[in-house]
Amino acid sequence: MKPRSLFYALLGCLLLLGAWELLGRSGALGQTFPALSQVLSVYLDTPKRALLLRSAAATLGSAAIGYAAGAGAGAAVAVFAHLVPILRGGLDRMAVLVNALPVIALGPILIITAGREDTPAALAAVPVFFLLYISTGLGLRATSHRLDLMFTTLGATRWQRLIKLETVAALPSILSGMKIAAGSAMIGAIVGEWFGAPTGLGIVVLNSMQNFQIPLLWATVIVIAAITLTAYGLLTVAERAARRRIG
Amino acid sequence: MRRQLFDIWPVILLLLLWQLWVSAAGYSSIVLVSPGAVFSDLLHFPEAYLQPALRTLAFALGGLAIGMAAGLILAIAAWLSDFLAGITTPFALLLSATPVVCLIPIVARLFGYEARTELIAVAVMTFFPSFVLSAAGLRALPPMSSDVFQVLQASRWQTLRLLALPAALPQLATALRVGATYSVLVALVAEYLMQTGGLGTLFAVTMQQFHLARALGASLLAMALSVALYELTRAVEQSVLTHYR
Repeated sequence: MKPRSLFYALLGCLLLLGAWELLGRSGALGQTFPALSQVLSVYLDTPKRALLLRSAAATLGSAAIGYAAGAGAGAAVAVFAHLVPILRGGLDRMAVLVNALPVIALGPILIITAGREDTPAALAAVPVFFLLYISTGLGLRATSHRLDLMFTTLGATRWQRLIKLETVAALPSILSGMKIAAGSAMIGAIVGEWFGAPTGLGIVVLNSMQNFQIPLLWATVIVIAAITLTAYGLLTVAERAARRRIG
Repeated sequence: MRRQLFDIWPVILLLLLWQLWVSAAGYSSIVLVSPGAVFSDLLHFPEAYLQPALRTLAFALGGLAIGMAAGLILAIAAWLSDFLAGITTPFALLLSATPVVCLIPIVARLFGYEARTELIAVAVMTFFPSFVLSAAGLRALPPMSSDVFQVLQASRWQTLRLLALPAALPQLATALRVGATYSVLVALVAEYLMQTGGLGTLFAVTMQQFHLARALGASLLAMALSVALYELTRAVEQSVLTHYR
């Protein structure tokens, strides 16, 4: 980043945070717009901090389970479709369709099939599955044709080509899919909790919204955003490293 | 055509598995309903679905229009002023990576449980992709084209109208596609949380009444709506892209 744009970014941050504090204090936007300091003081309050930590652990747990299951299955099915091309047309079409589906509309179906407790993880898994299916498929097909020819000429089997060439070449694309999927998993887990899970950040959001605990509501949403941005940032670094090595 | 018919096998497979599962388990209709029962509810009581579906569609499209326009206008302002671009771009990027759906409860509290809140939520959430993509589009000019405009002493305004805006069209079309599916999602979540009407409210209420056939009908209808909007905007995007190649 150039020093000038870094300066602008910092200035923008300060302006926004300052405006937030002043607007909240003045009460110009009503009771439901708290000052920044009010929101931050929620984190200093011991019982509320414990509640947030407990809920964050629950949400992170279901998001992580859904993410791992969805990503593993998506990548596996993509490899399978790569080896059995006749399946690809239908699966590709399905992946595009599911990507266009609003996750919340899947809620009623998952409650019936997976149950209230497992709906967050299931709702996190569905979009992750299809994002990883698409990105893995794209990556596998992006293998350089010349290298493919070289492997074939040197007598590599289909399996060796898959493991030693295509999977490696697909890594940057897979990581890019995993980066986008992190946000989807978090949205899926939160929306899934809204369908009646026992605990989680989504439940805290819902309860504090209904009970007018405005600073807690804002503080929880900030926790959700921070978790997502951290995952996104880490995967961005991993993706860049992979692109430098392989790209 | 045959190829396309063949390509819907995963959907048919899912419906078959669903039907088989229901028949095999023999649950009562409070626990589980068959796809047949859902489709028959959709066909026999269309009036129960029509008004909520139209409402969701109207709010999604209305909010999308406002969000797209606001995003484009701010992107143009950022294009005209480096200062504005410098302080807004980091936020736009940050916010486009946050799960904005989780911001809907805050929007609901800020503006109250009313119909306008749903419109505002859709507009705010579709604003981000619109702003980020149009800002990128306005800067992705063909090589040397801005030099030509400079040599011919075009004003800033002329450059915008004749060069940058047309050059941003493909990105705007992409923003429309991304925003379209987003708009339905946000409208549904807002309706589900605030119960102000529409398909989101329909499946929230019918779930509580254990009227599963209708809840799943509303859910399927919402999916169909979202997919239809997606296909439509993707067709627009494709035609813009082929036109600009």
